[in-house]
Amino acid sequence: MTVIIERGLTVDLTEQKTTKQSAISKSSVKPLDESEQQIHLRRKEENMKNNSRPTGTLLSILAAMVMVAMMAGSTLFAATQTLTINATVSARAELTLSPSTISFADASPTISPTIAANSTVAVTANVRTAANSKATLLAAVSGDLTSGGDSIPASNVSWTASAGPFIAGTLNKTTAQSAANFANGSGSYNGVYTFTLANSWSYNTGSYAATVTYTLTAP
Amino acid sequence: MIEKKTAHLAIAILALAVTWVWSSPSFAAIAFTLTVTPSSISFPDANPSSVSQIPASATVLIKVRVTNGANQNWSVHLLANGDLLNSDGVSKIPIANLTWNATMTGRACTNGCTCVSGTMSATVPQDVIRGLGNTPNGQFNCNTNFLLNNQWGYNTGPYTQTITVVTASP
Amino acid sequence: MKNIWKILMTITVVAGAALILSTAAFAASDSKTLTINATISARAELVLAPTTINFADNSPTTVSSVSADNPVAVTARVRTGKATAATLTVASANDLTSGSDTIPISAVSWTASGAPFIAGTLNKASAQSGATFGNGSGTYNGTYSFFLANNWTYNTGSYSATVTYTLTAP
Repeated sequence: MTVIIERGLTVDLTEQKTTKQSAISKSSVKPLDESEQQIHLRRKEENMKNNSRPTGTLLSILAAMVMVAMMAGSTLFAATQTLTINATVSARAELTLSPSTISFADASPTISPTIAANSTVAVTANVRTAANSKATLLAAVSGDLTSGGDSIPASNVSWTASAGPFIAGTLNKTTAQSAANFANGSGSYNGVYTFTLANSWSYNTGSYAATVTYTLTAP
Repeated sequence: MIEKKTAHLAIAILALAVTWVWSSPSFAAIAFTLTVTPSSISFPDANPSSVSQIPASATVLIKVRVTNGANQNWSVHLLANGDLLNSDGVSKIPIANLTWNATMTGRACTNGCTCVSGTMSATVPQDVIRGLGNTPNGQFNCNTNFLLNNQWGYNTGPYTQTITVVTASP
Repeated sequence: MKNIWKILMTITVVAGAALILSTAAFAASDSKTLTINATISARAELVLAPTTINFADNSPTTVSSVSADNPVAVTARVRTGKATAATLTVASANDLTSGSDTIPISAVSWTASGAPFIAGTLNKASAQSGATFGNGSGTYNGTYSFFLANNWTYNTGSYSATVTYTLTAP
């Protein structure tokens, strides 16, 4: 995963360094004697006569290229890497009810046809599901409220909901009832259920109880 | 004869110019060697109620070697190519939910190199390493630990995105 | 050829099963229970309407039993255990009086319509039962019709007495 700048620029750099080195080596060459100098100069003049225009043109082009490369170099010498990020999100459901027990106090059915529970129930539903699927929340009661051999029909217990997606309903001991209408996809929802018991003179005295199981499912 | 002299003069001027440019610090071509290991990291699924930030599967080691960088400020920055995208083609996790903590590892950098923690962006490059001049000990290393903010709102599925790690100097 | 088909079918079935299993594995659920308690205590409620009745003057010769001007509607609501029965008693501590004159309270009797209410005669010595309830809770509605045994011995005057009905849910 190592990337060393852009190839073309590396070449430019090398060429620059090479030029510098050759200049140094030229200056360290042993001096020529006079006859050799004359021969050398003559050859050089001849070469220049023959090649002055093409050589000059070539050098000019090379010089221009070097300068352009040098001026642009500071911005082009960047190194780039790629890092891939992956994340997995799986289906998940988390339901919280608080408190987990509520009570209906005794009251005169004449004065209080319905009895409010001693507390509302805060509900939090956290769901993770696919963008095109929706979670469900069902309330299933095992049976009627019972006290020894006496019973109060579970259907006499109903609830209202403070806000969507939570919905109002009535307990039914034969069919689990929907307690929320979720939209598609994931989310975190908070609400409050308020329970009431339909009061009746027909209820025999006693301490009644029933258990409601709430099941949150993220498909 | 005039042409020859002109050619010589041009060559000489060019040689001087090139030499001057080459030796000038302000025009020196700062060069970087950048290594990012591993090239891919993953975030496993976790319960947002108990894990608010998911650590990545591995620490990303970013190594940078700077040469020809005398007196020049430089940086290594991260730029996301977008939000984390779900394979469903619809769902996204905003890339700002990806953060990192960067800490120096290996030999210290005497030129004020620093590892920088931050939050990912897809629009503004975010520095992960900053420095001045050459890396005196050969290279400067930062261990980068990426974290993904975990939220219940994320739809299920595999998400992916690429981050470009780039060196830069003003 | 048959073998190839067999293998293909096996692969299809296995792949299908794997697909179903993998789909099921993606679902997640959480359950919580809510316990509902309700307390029902013993309670009794009695309603009589009207609360005053009058017997008009009549000749004892022609009207031996004078009917009250109105019947009395009675509603008894009781909550009690399924093995216990409520009671309704009628107590009249005094005779009908008008100054120093009296008419014996036992001259007043009633009939009842609607179970569990029963007919009776007022008695100042002991409270009388106004109903015979079955075990357990319930709401009961009926009517009492009152009568005064007329007699030439009654001195003239405006007589009155108060009768107390007591409904008890044990």
